[in-house]
Amino acid sequence: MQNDAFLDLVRKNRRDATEWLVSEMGDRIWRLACRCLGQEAEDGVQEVFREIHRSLPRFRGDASVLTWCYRIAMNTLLDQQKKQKRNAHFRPLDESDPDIKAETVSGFQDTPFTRLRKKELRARVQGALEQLEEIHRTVLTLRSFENLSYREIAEALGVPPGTVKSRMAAASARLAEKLQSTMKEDEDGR
Amino acid sequence: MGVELQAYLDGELSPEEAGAVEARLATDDSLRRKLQVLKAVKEALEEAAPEDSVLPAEVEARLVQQITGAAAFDEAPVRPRSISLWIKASLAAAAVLLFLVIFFNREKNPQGEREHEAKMQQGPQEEPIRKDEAENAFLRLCVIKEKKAAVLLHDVIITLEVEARKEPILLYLVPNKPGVSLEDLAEEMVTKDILVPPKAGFLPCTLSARIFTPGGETLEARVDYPPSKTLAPLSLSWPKGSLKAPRFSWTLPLSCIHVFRKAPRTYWDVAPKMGGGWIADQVKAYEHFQPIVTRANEKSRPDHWERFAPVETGTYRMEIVLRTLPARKEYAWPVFEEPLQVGIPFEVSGHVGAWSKEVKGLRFRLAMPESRCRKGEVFPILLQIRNTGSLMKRYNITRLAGNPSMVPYQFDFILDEKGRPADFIGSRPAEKGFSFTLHGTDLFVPHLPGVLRTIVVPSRWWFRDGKPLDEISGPARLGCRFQFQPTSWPAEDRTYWMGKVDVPPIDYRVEE
Repeated sequence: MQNDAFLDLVRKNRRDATEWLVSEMGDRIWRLACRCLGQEAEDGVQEVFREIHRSLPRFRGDASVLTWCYRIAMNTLLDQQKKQKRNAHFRPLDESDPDIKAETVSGFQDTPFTRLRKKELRARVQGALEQLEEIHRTVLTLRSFENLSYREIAEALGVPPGTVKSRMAAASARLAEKLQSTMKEDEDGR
Repeated sequence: MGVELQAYLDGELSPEEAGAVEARLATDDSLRRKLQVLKAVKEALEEAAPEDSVLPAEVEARLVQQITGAAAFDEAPVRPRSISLWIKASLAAAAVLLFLVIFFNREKNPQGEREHEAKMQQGPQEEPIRKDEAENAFLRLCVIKEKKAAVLLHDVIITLEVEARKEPILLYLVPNKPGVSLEDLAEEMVTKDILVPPKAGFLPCTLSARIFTPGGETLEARVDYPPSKTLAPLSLSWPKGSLKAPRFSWTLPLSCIHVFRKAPRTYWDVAPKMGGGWIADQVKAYEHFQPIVTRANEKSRPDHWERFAPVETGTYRMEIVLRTLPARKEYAWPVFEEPLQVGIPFEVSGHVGAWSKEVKGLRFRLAMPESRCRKGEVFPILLQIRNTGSLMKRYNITRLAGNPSMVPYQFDFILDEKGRPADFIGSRPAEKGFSFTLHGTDLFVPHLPGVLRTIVVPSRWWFRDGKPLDEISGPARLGCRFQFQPTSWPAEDRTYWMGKVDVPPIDYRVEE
């Protein structure tokens, strides 16, 4: 939906607009919330959409609806995370959780061995990500897991595109260092 | 150059900028190595991306209910974990409001009521149903109890023959008389064959299933019901110590039966958590069953309500085994007694009401068994819903508190020509000291366009004047008013369906 059409919808019925956003953005926000809040993702999603609903009258269409939602979601979820004083950021989805597993349609296509390998890699990358500064982790997550462009990330975070560009470069370099050091530790351990 | 290199890798540079980077790469070895490192990191990140999970439908439904529900969504502060109370309060308010609206409409609109009564008295007029219509022979149900040597001494086998349709079958098991009803069977088990100790609060049994395909193959199946980790596969429970003369029935939607293959032992050893002894990801490869992933339109996400439906048409035979759990020391129950071979097939055909008029892409009708009903015998009543529209539908279960039931709360039954509503619709009343717990998600199974959905409800569930329908003898007329409201709908569906439809009544007679 174009911004104009969405603005029309907001003007006509704010609840309809929020419901539309739930259907369009629900999965993405859910994934972000799972990574930020783990088991309490539902509370996070609820709070994000409540915040979106409250903020709809202030949406002017300067940014795309998608990035506008991301911006609110990131701010809200990080606030929630701080409030809950959780240490772990961007938790991986718990694969042992049967509910999550059942919802993972693409998971059916992998063999158990592929899944194990992916799980191991995921744990390694996740561990390295968690050692990064929050600003670096955020840009990498939005880029790699949510497939946002630099411009969209900039809008979502409220920073200039140039900042995203430099943060991405720095984040990738840091992540490379962390991954190399964990691999070296593994090799030394053997 | 590092900044430009990362942006180049991400495809975020203009053609001119990218050209400049490529020119540098052509002459600079260290830059090429750096690019390789960044590329490896990017690939690792992409491969390590969590598998796509989707917003669970129940969470989405709760969100939508909150948004549509009340002003509270606008202003009320969030209290963690208060969502269920909040929804309950909204639903309670909505239910009271709905009741008041219906009540006052009836009181203030006697003309409308008279018109409705006149319509009811006219009986079914639209579209006489031909017996040879394929949809009238949609189901053959057969209940067989048999003894098979010592192996099955503890088991009751219920055999169903189901004509396979390319829709997950939603079926309430309602065996018919004459013979032994499932209810009697259950009573036999509990009161005579299984000595449940006074302190027990549940029925000690498990369910499993095998499926025999039209081609003669035998498939193992797992009764995976309900699809929740919070409820037991089948929980029949009662207040401890109250089980003196228990009678119970149980319901089982066939859509909960998933076909799995036993996992090879190596998988057990390597990844015991990956489905235990069952490999879920091989289901997809199974040639007889394919997942139905509904998609409302090209833009919407695939619905995560995935069910497995047969790909072949023909008669599948399904053997469901209700198996008692091994006796514990403090329990003792004798084996089942003499075999009893009772085949009770019935076809639901012929005795069907007229289709209602189409409302928001839905048409309804009632159907009953052709045989006459006898007082005291449970008989099935079928509500059929045809999705004549172009959009997927789902039905809400609003009975959240206490005992989740598969009965949609929006049913508003009218049991006679005077338009009196039913006193009670639901599972067995609490005063019997017996309740069963079922998960209410199966009516959420998407109802696809063009598909006929049949819900079979035992007459024992429908009460009037404090009595179940099968306890009221004489001629009777059964009508039904179906009120529906949206639970969720695809983004492009702006029709916002909500409505009310009177299902043409059918006449029946309960013999003394």
